[in-house]
Amino acid sequence: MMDAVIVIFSAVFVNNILLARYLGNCPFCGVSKNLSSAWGMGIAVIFVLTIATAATWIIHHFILDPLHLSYLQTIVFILVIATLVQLVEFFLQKNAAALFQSLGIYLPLITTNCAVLGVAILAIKNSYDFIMSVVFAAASAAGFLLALLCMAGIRERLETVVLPRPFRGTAITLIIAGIMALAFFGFSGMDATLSSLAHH
Amino acid sequence: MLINDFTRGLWEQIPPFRLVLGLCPTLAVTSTVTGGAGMGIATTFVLVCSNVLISVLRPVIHPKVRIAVFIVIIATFVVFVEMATQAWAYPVYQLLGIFIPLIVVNCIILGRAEAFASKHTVVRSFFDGLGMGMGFTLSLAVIGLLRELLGSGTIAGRALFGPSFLPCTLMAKAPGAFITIGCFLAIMNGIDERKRSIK
Amino acid sequence: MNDAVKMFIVLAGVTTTCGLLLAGAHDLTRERIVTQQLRYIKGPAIRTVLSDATNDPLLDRRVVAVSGKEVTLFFGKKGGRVTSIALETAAQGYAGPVHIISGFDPESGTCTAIAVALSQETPGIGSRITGDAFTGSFTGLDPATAAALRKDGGTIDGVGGATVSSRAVCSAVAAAQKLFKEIRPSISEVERENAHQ
Repeated sequence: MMDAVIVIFSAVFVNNILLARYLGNCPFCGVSKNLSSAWGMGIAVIFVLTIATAATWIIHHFILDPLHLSYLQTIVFILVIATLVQLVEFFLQKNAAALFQSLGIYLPLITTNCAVLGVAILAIKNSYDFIMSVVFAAASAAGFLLALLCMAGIRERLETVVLPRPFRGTAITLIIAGIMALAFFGFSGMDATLSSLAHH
Repeated sequence: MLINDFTRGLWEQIPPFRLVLGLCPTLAVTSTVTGGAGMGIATTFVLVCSNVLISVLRPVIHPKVRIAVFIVIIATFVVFVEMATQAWAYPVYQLLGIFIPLIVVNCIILGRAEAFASKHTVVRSFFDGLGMGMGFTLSLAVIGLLRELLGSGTIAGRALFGPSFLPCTLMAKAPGAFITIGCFLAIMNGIDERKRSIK
Repeated sequence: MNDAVKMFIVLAGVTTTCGLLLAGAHDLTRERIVTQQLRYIKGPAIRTVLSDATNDPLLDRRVVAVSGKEVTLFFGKKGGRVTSIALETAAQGYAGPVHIISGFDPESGTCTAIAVALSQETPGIGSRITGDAFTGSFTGLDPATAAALRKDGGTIDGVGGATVSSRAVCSAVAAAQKLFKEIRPSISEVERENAHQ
């Protein structure tokens, strides 16, 4: 139980997927213009990331590993993720029209979101068990949502500010992300402290 | 025309600045010049090979499954790179880590496959891939150079300044990555604006 | 031809070709990758343990099967004679598994040296298990005494304040001693093979 708490804390704050692990930065710059699209993208990522990590974990441990095919990890994982995104899209369209309306346009973008493949590979690399992998994936995605919402909030206010022309758009977004990363730096090492407290 | 295909990627549409794609590896591996150049070369290899192969297969790839075929082809070359770096350049593999398999989701590669290689001849696709790849390598190496110089006071691992030099460690870490690339982007935008106003 | 069939053939063809090419590439690079991983990850520890060897122990490695498990042995040679044999074992430490390379004399089975290959122990506390003062205390341990901390009834002095990490090293070395005892009969065989080459 305590281990799960530490993994969650570490994935959301200490090793935030966007600000410390550098994964998923394209949507971070692309859909952070306003809060409503940030919510849509964030929820869609939580959804897909969790399912994709669960699916890739099962495939790795029950197919690739027993058959000594782990060298095909990259190619199999990306295909699984692409297929999964399509399936989720079909499923939502058929069964949850309202949800599809709000998330629909973000789903195709997620296939090339390196956060999904990145977290799936990291879960295998860290040799988490199944439950821990799912917890890790959900927490990483929650960290993604958190950072995306912060950024969208800042950028909404930035609309009313006069900026030097060259800095408008992606340039200022990256610089703000840098300052946010600096703030998140304050959490570094706290997961190690927590885990040593938990074990004593 | 071939020259044009080649130089487009080197200045006009140099990734990741003009073509704002592939930001993740740009941020992640540029804390040293070796990391930046290594990632650039690996990406160039995948980009050139996938561009050529996709251009060759252009007549038989069914439009409905094209994205799936592109992804399979790109992923195959990425796995080749993964194996090659592990077998012959293990330190580079350790340096780039998880970002080698992640070349597969680098939007530049899928973007060039879709926008260029699936519509043009093999030779033109080759030069387009080479130009874009070299542009990407150049950008990453320059960012890496700057960040390594300021963040650790070294170039490719060799110390430049005396022991009294206090490196700005922040530059080698995440905040430095974001701020450096943001500033580079603003500089490029500024140059464009200057050009436009002269015209 | 039907559109859907054509689509399927193209997709299946591309995927199969890519799969076959990758399988070929994997076969070609597998040996080298294993050697490289050993060299960069465990190489330093293996070299510390077999420090007086004149050959490259990473290339002089053999995989032997012991009670259903595969164990890789590294042979340290001096003047054509095997002077020490190293193998890897792991035990649960404070922050994850601690991997230990232990070297043994092929004749007597005495422990010649040990080194930490991989550990994530807390910097400054548990990480002190890598120090010479601690690892050196395993040298000369005879095969009849299993490695154990003094407070567990053994002969090894643990690192102060890092009992969990020290205990992990001891149990890894004890496991290596046990393993080496089982392997020893088959070693003379391997050695003879070596001599023939």
